[in-house]
Amino acid sequence: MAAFVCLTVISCSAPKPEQPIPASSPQPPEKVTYTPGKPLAPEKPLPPLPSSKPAAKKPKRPSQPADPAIRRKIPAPNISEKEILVATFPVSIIDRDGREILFEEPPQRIVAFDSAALETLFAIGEGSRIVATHDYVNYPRAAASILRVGDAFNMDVEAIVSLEPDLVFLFYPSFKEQLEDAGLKVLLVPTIEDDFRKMSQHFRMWGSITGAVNEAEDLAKNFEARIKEIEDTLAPYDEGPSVFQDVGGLWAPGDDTLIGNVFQLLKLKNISGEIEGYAQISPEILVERNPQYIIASYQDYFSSDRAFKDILAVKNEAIYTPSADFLSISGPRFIEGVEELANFIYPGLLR
Amino acid sequence: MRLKKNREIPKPDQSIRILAFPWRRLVIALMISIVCCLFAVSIGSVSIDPITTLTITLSRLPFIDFPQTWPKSLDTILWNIRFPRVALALLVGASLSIAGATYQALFRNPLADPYFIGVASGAALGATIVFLSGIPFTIGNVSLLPMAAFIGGIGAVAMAYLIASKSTGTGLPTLILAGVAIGSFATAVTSILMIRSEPDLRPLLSWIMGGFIRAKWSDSIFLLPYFTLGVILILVYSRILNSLQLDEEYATSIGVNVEKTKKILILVSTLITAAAVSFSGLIGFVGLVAPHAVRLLWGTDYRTLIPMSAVVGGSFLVISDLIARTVVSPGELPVGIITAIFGAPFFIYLLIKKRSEIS
Repeated sequence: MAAFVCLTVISCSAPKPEQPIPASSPQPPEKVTYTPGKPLAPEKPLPPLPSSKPAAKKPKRPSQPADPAIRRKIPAPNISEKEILVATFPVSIIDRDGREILFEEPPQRIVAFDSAALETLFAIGEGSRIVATHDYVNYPRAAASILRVGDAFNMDVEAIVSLEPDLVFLFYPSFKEQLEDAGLKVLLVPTIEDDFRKMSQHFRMWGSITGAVNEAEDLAKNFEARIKEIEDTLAPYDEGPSVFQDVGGLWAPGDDTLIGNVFQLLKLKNISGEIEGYAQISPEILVERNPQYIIASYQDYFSSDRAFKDILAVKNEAIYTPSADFLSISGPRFIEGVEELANFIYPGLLR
Repeated sequence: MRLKKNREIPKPDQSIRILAFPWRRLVIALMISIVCCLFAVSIGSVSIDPITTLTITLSRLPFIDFPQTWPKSLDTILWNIRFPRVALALLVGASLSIAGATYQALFRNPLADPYFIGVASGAALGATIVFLSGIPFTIGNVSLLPMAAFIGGIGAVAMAYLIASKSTGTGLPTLILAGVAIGSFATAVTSILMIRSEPDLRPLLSWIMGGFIRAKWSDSIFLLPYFTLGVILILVYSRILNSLQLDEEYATSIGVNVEKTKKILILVSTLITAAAVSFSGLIGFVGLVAPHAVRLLWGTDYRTLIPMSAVVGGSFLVISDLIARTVVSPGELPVGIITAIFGAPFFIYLLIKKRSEIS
């Protein structure tokens, strides 16, 4: 399928150099279901990002056929102009431990043991390469039929080996060695737990691994543009309301977490900001700091407790219950969660 | 460690004389625990100076009115967060300690604690089911979590008891073994549920480790009748407990209906434990150690042991909770961690000290 994409790209862009065409997939390529329509393309074309991006520093793609020795590394090169990209192989990806994982050609049978990776692959139209994933994947619907081979604690290594995958993508290291000992190619990239802006790098990474570079670039640009739009909209404002997020049992995130970074983007003052990672916060602190908004899965939990009846968020019924798990998966839908939260707190401000 | 047989064994023919009750010790101990409570109320992650604390507290009493010069949030913090918390910690500590003391005599096992015959595992299973099923914890004003934990705890012991009474020897060893089996089974089911679940496990884990973070007045009000009934019943049977902890045959020979007494005491202890656990999670160590500390300090007479265990266990848990909620402020630690970290060294100190005194 990636070969398909690359072929079309090459054939319709005449001056492009010849590329090593990846070996075509053993199965007849399915029709790519990806439509560059609503969710992925920016609503309005955005101007090239301002000069703060180090666009000039990176040389443009060489016009000569890419020397296989010059391997592209992640983060992918910055492309500020709208141009058609060409997948180049081999690609090398730096994993968690700083090791290079080399891809001579796009992997055809991927075990995507990570919700974000799976959603990204589907978003760039490469979902059909996935042969297995873990138990908790519930999106997109097309992923429902994909084989499940483990959960947050266990992995059915035998089942994975018997699938003969040419790539196993992991977000936690427990089974890495065991899989590698079984002769499998393993790529371990931890889940993003701090700066959500890194997600666009992950999108591009999947583009270069699968060859769907243009789709990944669109996805990444769309993500960046939507973040930028929120940033620009909120730029005139100094500080927004205070907020408290309860992930359950008064466990709350600090500023250094993924959601803490979203709060900073939205200029929300996180009342549990000084916490590192997540911690259970004292109800006294919650009452004293008196947040204007509360984010929690259950509204009753706060409104039914007398101790919390004077908190602004409770009085004003400003308790936000996310409609889905967007903000818990650092994949393509994350931005929708950010926008939903932004629209709850600043109704009518965006768009 | 066998219970000390040689110290202060009351003579069985000793009649219950109201004067024999350790009034003086109890009054002193109660005063110490009141001081502990006041101390715990005046300290917290939000600092409120002692005078304001006192004023707010007094203004809650009838017939006393002060002009309100403090922010309303302080009143909420003291009255709706700290006071219920201290009250619940006191009650839970006292409940677990008397249940532990009773089990230790019943099973003649110094390692017995309130969770000995499966209450804890059953309660944890009940709580886990509510946590992971996605049911909201509260529907209107009814909290489902404590209810599920209570039912789980009682259910586990009831099953163990049924198994023990069905099998040939209806003795307590069978009950212990059945309790261990049911407990392991419930723990295994809990683990499966946790492993197979996607939601964030941290809230569940902090419930399992125990704590009073969401204590409300209504929790203490729920717990109070169980505790009162428990203390009265166990005190009534305290003379029998004195003889039971030595020898069942001996107790029978002096005319005690051992089977009936055991049934009642097991039922009462299980009820108090399940009620305590359902609001606070599985707080370890208090129920095991408080009775032993009392034994080391004041001897093994259950007429002293029960009230003193209640006071000591309650105060110990109040102070442990104070540490749990202030040491990593604004965060909190599960109180079960504190009871073990501070309780274990204290207990070892008592053991060593008493041993050197005796020798």
